[in-house]
Amino acid sequence: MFLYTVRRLNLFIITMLILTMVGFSILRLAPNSAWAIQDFWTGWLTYLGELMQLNFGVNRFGVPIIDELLIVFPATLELCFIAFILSLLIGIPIGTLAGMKQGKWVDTFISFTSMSGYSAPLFWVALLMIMVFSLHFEMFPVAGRYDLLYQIDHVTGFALIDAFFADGPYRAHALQSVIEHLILPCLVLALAPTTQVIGLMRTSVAEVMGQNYIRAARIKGLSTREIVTQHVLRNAIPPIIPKIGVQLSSMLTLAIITESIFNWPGIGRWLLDALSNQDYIAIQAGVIVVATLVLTANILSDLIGAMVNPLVRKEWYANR
Amino acid sequence: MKAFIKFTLSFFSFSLLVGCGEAIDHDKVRQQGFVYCGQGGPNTFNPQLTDNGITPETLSPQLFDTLLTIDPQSFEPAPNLATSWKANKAGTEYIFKLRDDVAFQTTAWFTPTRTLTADDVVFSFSRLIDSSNPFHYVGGGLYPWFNGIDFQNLVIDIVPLSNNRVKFTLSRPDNSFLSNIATSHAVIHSKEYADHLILIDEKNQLDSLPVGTGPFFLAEYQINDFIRLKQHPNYWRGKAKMGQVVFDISNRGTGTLAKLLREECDILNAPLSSQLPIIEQRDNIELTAKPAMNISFIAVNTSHPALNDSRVRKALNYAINRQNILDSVYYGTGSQAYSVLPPSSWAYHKDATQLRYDRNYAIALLREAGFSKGLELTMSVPVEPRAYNPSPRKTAELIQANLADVGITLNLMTDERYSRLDANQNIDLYLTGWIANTGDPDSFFRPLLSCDSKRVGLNVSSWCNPDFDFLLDLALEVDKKRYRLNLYKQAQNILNEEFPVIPLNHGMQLQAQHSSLKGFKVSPFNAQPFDHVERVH
Repeated sequence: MFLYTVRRLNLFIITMLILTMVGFSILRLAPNSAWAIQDFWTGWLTYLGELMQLNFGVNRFGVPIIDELLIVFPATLELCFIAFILSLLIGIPIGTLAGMKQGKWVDTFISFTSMSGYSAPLFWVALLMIMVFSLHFEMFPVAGRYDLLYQIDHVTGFALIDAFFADGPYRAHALQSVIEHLILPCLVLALAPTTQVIGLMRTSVAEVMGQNYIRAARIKGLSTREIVTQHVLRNAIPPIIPKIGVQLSSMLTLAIITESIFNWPGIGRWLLDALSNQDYIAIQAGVIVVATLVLTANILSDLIGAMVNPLVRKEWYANR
Repeated sequence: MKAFIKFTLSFFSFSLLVGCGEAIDHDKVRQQGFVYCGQGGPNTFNPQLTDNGITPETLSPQLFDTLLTIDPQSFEPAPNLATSWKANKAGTEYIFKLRDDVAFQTTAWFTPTRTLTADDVVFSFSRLIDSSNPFHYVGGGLYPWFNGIDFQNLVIDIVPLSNNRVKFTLSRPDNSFLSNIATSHAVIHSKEYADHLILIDEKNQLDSLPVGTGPFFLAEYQINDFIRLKQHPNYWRGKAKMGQVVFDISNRGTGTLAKLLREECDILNAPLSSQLPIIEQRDNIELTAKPAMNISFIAVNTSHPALNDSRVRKALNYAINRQNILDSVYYGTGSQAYSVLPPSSWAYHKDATQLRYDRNYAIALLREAGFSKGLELTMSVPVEPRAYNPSPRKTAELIQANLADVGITLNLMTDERYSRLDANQNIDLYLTGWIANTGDPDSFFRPLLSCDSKRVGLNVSSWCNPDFDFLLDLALEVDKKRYRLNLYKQAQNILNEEFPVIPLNHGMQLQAQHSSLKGFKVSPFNAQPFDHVERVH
């Protein structure tokens, strides 16, 4: 396990270094950037030193980018994290159901729905949801993170937590406003990962269902519920953990679209603004931060996957 | 895992419980404030430093006060921070008497210890005109609006006579001086705050963390998201009725109209004209339209070799079908331009012979100028709709079609970052406009077309005509109104011969708001203080 971790971390560091080169090249794109006149390698070393101290430079308006990132990045994390939980909460039971009833009409129905959900363009779904739930049924707000009339102080950057611990007469209402604003973007963002989780779960469960130990459990007279919780899930979930981790990173891409449609003040919308302003310094910082998150999520899910699934570890030792 | 599920479930059930009894309380919050939408974010909070955008148009009257204001009916200057004023016979010296109970705002970054004095007035104006003022070069040292009217050469000296009397000395008599210092650009800052900033060596904060005397102070600002203003309890007119105003400045998302319909916005500034039918259907939303002092026009870059020929510029003018634009872009809310000045100006001179649609004449003029084979031009098109042009993109496409009709190929450059200051020399035509800050005709001509404004880069046509400037200068000095009228008529005639700008249409100032909000003061110029706005049911 230790060796495995070290090798993963090595890969992480090398990828990160290559990434900083990309970030550095973006910095040099700006026509009047001070970085462009330096030699590439010496400049890159200075740049690495600055990154170590979390100094991303200042944006077009002279505001240090790290201050802005501290505001926008938690917003994205909040959205992605909740949508991710949501996709697991919905995806795992439905995927298991489909896997257990493989070939039956329930399975066909679930597979069909999740396929069509996966193939529907995200921005179209988002706009449709806004039209139906916000404008027609007037259930949810159209955009933003909370009603602007509530003043929620920025402590952790996660509106849910900030609103929860804020004080003042309207605390409960602020929290409610935050939750109302979260629902639509989270549903939209959770759509694609949910269908993926359903698909992964379905295959994994179907595979487990064919194993001899399930037959043995059945013959022993265990109820279906017991079989599912004791045997099926325990064996079906660990192999797909690394693949689910990849979902978290592809979610970040989708988050950019979602944020822009729901006007969610996260890093996606911020990055789009930076792009339209051609603010290379901000683009560089955004690329580095988003890519770091994606890499970390991937490596963490690999590590967790290896931790809970001895089979992976075995493969590693065998290869050596 | 089980603990996690329990936590999630209890969290959501808790939040559902929270939902009970919400309807009544949310009204309480709304009673105390409102959300204003439809304008982009500011570059600075100091209206002295910018000539357009949300800061001078909407924020300035909330955060700051000016010495005088302009009466919305008569367009004459009216007392504000200055209770009275006297001018000498020659019109070169003005003495203002100040109100003595004006408190500055207490904010998170500054606590004032004294009320407004003559020193504050002197400081605020000397920053503009005196290069030895420690703040003169802070923020770039450019004061586009003031440089456009040559303010730095007009005012020679400002001295405090006593604690509450200030004397301005002008280099020449100027009929528009009082109107100019009544605009939302000529705000009064606190000298005490400025001194404090010099001490802590943070001079930039004067423009980013403002301290003024207006009815609301800046409480919170998140770039591209919102600006929160809170009630200034010691406002000299009596504190505002609302506790807070929030400006939603986010430019992405499904749009401000949807927010207005869902009551996430209470006011929508300058709705698109295509949205008007939807707004009119709603009973709980009121639409106010008032004629405004503005003009949308195409500025012609006269340094372009072909456009340097006045025949080509004239041909462009004849090629554009203004009525067509009016019908399909303004949806009947605007009026056709026959001059740079709007019809409500007293110097308005309608010229329907020069400003008309005549395609054949345009083709003939182009042929005469040697461009019968065609001509390729670029036009920059702003994205944000403004009072003078509810849909620049659509207007640009109509113009493109019109010009294609006479053999001119027009490439449109839609640029979100476009502003008149960093105007790129490679662009030939600019679709833009102007919102006047005073009722004075000078506020149209001088910032847009004088040689001084060419020097500071406001005049994107790079057009400079000494005869035209002479007429403008003379008009500021003559003492009889009918002489001025005559001079401005001649100036307009020069414009209609030369066409450095091609006037298109005048827009209405539109605003959609929830009918529960009452107490807006209206003016054909910028927004007015929101201190009387309240929510009634």
